[in-house]
Amino acid sequence: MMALFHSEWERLWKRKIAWLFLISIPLIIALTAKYYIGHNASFPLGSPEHTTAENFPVMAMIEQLIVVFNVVALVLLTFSFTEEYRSGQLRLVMLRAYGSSQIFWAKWLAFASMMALFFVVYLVAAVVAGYVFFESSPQQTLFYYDHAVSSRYMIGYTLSYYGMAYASIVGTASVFIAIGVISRSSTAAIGLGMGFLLCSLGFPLIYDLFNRVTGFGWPAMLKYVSLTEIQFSGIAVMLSGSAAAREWHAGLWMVLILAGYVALFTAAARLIFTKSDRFI
Amino acid sequence: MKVLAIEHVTKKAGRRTLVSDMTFEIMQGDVCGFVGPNGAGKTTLIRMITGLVRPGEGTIRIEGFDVQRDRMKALGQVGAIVESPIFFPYMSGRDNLLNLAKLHAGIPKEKRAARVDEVLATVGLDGRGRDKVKTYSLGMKQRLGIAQALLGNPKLIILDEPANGLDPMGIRELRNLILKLNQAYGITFFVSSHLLDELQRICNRFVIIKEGRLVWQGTQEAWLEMAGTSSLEDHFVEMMTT
Repeated sequence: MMALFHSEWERLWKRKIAWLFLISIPLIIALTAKYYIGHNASFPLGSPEHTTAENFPVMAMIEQLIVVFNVVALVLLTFSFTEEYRSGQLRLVMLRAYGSSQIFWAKWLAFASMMALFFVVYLVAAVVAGYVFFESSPQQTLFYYDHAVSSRYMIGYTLSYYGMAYASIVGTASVFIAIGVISRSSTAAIGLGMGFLLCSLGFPLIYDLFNRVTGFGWPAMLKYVSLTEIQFSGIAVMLSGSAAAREWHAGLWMVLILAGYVALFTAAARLIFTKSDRFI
Repeated sequence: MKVLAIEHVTKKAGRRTLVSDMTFEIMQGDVCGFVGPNGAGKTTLIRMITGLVRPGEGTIRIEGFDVQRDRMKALGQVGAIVESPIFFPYMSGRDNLLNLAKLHAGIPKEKRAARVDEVLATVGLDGRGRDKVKTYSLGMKQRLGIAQALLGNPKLIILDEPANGLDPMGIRELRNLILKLNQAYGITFFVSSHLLDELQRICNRFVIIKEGRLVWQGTQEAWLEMAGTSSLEDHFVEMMTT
């Protein structure tokens, strides 16, 4: 199984998008820092939107998680699942006596490992850039917190934020894999994946509008069935531990939503991937 | 000794029967031609032999191992090109083989590069191994296909329409390569093709199918004797149209 994982990792790594994304992380971080330097002019120290050396890694993740990380995940998974299957390249692996279930998990693991590498490099680059581009502050004000936190607290918060961001990418990836195994072409997989992201982005807006117009007063927590909403504000709500978040068990709710996506879509994708005959 | 044994294999897709109660054997050292008109079920049977498609009924054994129950042991004895030789185009020919060599338990890590270079030399691609596959001609891809099939020292190589798209020079190179591998290494070949004249030059046995059913199997001598002519092609056309 390790040999299969190494083989999958190597093929994923040899794709231009993988190493191009890795080497462009410092550039993405620098451009994000430049944006927040301008942003700081409008938000004074003490505002959660004011960027400091300590909170820059989190701000940089908030800025790029939904668009950059989701799209990179979608493209990598489309190459790994859809293109290899539909072009017949997967035959080369299947002829080597591995079962389709083993191949599925090796692909999943190779993707998850590569995204973990991207997250670690992104975090390291963001920490360095934070101290290069922003002033340090002994106290940080965070989104949805009713009190300031220390820089030491910020270290744990940053690691938790990246951990949850990674979990959210695993969640979106499970949907992309399911899309990838049913799509008849890479273009269709990318198109459907982008469609899912757009629907996910649009759902909270429509939900809020619907709630306002009808006056039904449905709970705000329901809008977090959208994965991109979890990425946009959910992680910060979950980690805040504020009274409002505690009241509706925000952390548990969003973890359950993520686990639900992963379990449902991974199981469906694996079933489709392993049960069908390979007329490839 | 039996290398490949097909026993009462049937495959249906919906109501359509693709392969029906197929039974035949291939012995060690055979170069067996697998012939039949388009849509006869050749590629479906090859997909079942290589584990890509599950038989609806019957069993397929390679060196005595059931492909469905003992997949690792059965397919560990096989190298194959199914339909066209497709590779990972963003990698060089050598990198493709190195990547696939990782999947052969029988090739230790320290011997992978040497084995890859050896098979590249066997198929005459040692000079182009470091070029990207997307720059290869079809003939070179066919040879690389045979190189990947050779990686795990297989006892049986299955080639599905290997001469498709090749020019006469390419076909001659392929023929010489098959004969060399058969005679020098004792590798058994199962070759599906429409080019009967070409098969006549390399095959000692034939399996003929039509509409998913076995029509005839036997040695080339027996077929020639039955046909009463030196051209198998003429007799094949007659068999398929009557």
